[in-house]
Amino acid sequence: MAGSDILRAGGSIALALLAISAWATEAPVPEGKSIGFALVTWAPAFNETPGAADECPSGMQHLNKENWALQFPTVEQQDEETKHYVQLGPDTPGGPIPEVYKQNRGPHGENTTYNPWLVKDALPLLEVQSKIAYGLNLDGTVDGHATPTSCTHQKFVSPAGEPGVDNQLYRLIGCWPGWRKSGFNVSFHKGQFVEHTLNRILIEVTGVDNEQNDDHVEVTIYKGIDQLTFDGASKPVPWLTQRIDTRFPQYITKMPGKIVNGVLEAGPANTRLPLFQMNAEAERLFRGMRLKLSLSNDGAEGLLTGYEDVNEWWRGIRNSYVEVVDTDGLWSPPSTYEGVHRLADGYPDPKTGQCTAISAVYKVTAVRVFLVQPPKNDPLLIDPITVLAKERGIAVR
Amino acid sequence: MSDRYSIRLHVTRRVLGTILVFVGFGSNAGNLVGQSSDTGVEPPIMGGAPTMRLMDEQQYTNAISDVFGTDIKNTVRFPPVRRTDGLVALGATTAVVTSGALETFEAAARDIAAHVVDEQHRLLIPCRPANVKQPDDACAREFLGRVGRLLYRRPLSADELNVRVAAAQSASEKLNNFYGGLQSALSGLLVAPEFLFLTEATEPDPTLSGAVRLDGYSRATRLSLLLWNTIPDEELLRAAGAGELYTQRGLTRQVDRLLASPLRVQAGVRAFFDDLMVMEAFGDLTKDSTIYPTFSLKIASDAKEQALRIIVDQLVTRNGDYRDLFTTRHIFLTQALGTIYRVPVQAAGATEWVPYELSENDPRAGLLTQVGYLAVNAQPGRTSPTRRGRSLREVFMCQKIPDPPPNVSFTIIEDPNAKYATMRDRATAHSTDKTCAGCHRLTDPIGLGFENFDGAAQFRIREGNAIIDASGELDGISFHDGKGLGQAVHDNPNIPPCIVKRLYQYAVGRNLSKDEKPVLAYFEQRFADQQYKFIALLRTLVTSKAFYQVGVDATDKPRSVTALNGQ
Repeated sequence: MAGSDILRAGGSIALALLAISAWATEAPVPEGKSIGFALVTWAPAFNETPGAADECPSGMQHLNKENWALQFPTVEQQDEETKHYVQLGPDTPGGPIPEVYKQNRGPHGENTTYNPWLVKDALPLLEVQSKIAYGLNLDGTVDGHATPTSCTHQKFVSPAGEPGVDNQLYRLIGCWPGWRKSGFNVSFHKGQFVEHTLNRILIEVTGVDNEQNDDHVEVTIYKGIDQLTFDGASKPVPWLTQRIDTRFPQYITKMPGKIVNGVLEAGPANTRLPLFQMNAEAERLFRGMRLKLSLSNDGAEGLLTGYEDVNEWWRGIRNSYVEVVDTDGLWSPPSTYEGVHRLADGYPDPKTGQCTAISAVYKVTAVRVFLVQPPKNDPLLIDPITVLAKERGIAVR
Repeated sequence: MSDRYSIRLHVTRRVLGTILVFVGFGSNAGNLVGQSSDTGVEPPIMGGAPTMRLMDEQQYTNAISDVFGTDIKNTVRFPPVRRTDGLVALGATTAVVTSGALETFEAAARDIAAHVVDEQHRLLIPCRPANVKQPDDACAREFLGRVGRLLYRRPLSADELNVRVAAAQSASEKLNNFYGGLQSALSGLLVAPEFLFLTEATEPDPTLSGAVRLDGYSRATRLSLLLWNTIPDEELLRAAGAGELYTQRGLTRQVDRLLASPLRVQAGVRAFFDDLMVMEAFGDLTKDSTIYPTFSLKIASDAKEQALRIIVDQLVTRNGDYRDLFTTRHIFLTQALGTIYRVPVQAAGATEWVPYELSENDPRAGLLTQVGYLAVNAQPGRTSPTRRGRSLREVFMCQKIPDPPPNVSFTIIEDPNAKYATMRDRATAHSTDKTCAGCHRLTDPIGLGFENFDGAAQFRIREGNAIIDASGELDGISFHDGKGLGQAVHDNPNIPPCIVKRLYQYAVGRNLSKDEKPVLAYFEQRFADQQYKFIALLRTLVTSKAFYQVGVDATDKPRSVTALNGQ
């Protein structure tokens, strides 16, 4: 895990990527003092120890089917459930339908991935026990006491020894195998993140006078619309041109920033991002999002952190992993749903006091790109439905 | 002066209306072929033998499209043809069709014929059989005669057509299907040597006893191949059949018509430069992915297309000075190429081409500083000043550089020893070897002018820690970098004559003889007079006598100078 080693050793985000060629190419300085990036990887920032011994001493997350077996403990009950739901579902070639029916744990057979509040898992959610996690101090406290924008919670210490790190999402899903480095969720999303243009997140840094140190820059996040290109080693090719998808102004976020010793620090800002994950569309909603990216000639890498809206997070997770709950996904929705609300540490609801967002930290990498506004007549941006509606005098929301 | 020479003089008066030139020539018959172009009039030449060349893949594709429509696709891949004197067009005259290649042609012919007669394309057949399940000789004759004329580039003889109709009839009877029979006969046309081989025919020259000339259909084919890179169209065949291509007026009318079609002319220009610049090398262009990870097959493909677009833009669209190819700032980019140039490319998709004007400060200008030339003339993992310099000398300056000896050692060039900080240092060390120095002195000083562009054509200031020195001299003109070298090429007096010579060779499909020097000089002078416009050069060439001149007598023996001058 070379990236983590660098992160741990430096006490800051990893610095420049190694030059591959003995003859470093020298690009002309981008015009207009702006530099652009396209995110190419996005994964939860976990501090993983060998065998998860430190962070998950009690083992990996309990599965939905384990809870199902405890909910229906006798053979007769299980046969009844199996017979009932297998009869309802279509036969699949080669045998009965997979264990998706084991999600129907509600009192009236409701699907408890979509209605997780209807049952309480017998097996507890196994939270991360480690004291060490990646991230930043989002609420400004060292001990995690409640503030106007946060709820009482446990803090972490960064691998570099910095106290006050907020990463409750790691605490929630750090023992979920799918989300660990070689887990199914991460592996599958790795491809989709770069291949699907719903995940095309562009970052523009303007007002750059010096890429090593600059007190004032502006960072703008956009959704892009173009595919990336990959080299023979499946690495994204830098210096592509990427069009901004101007159809979605809700995905544009501006935030202040600075560059210190080649590290871009930006935020906080409330940010909405599109997401395509496990063949399901969703969104991410961050409150107080921050970036900390180490810049290099061809790209950047670092952390993206903030308070992720619990409802949006849950919706995305649920829709994406409902089909693989007990196969590749390996989780139990009811306890996860309970856990994300319990562990939420940001932006309490003024009426209920329940925190509505959870501190989340993601490792991201990016390549340098040129960002351009699409021409007005760009056919890719012309929505035929909107055009038709306008022709017919129909108001379009 | 002989009677034959008087006849030639009479004919010349009628056609050219220029008496003085031939009176002047007639006074010294021995100088007939060796006259210069000082008078601005085309000097006569003997010409070379008529040629027989294998149609190339693009010509085949164009022919199929022109005859049957773009909906009918060519699927055959032609075997590579050896270059002769740097041109495939010359090598095509010695190409052979192996049995394996013939099978490929047959498969393609069957496929094309099947598509032509299928229900979606019946409109291509101008008649309907009386009974679809039976032969219909009249309809078959109409279709095969029309299509055969286009494919063979001349009317089919009665015997030829009868054979094809009989084949259609026989197959129709066996298949109980008229269209099946037609397909079979059409397949035969498509693999016939009369289609695949561009064979020039001669006929007795009525203006010169005992001599022959290219017949009208061969003239039409030469003309169409050069200007449009395809077989003659219906109108050109009509003009050929009516004898119009023997007259300057008729020829000029057809040339005007052909040159008035920009897209078609672009195809002709592209084909010539594709051959001249050895562009089949792009098919094998790869780079070491660990050294140049950005360089992809897409970039290699786009680089070739970019070069051709720049050429067409400068020479056809802008009708500009040929020499400006080496200094132009007007290029074209795709998104993929943008990653090499490190500039934004506002394209609607990965395959869209966007015109781009390089800034005055850009280190690139001209064809030789673009990705295609630089990358294809480099090694997979490094630059090659020798290849870049050699390509420039051979392709654009017509200077032959000998091949390296078989046992040459590249150790110094590939030695990562830090003692040699840059490619210039390594090349200089290599050139101290006496067996290498002679050729390298011709190539490397030029090729090193492009060292600011690495093996993938990416711009760089340094090689490792050393600042690159890209200065040099080309035939007495100094330059400081690749852009300056482009200007030096632009100003080099060898550039225009070389393109004239290459174009003429390509057009006539053969090497040139010494006695064609005067006509080359004439073409060069016209080229200069017309501000080095390439389209004008094409017009000069195809309206010249030399373009159609064949230097054989009626017994197919080359006419000797003595024989010509004695007539």
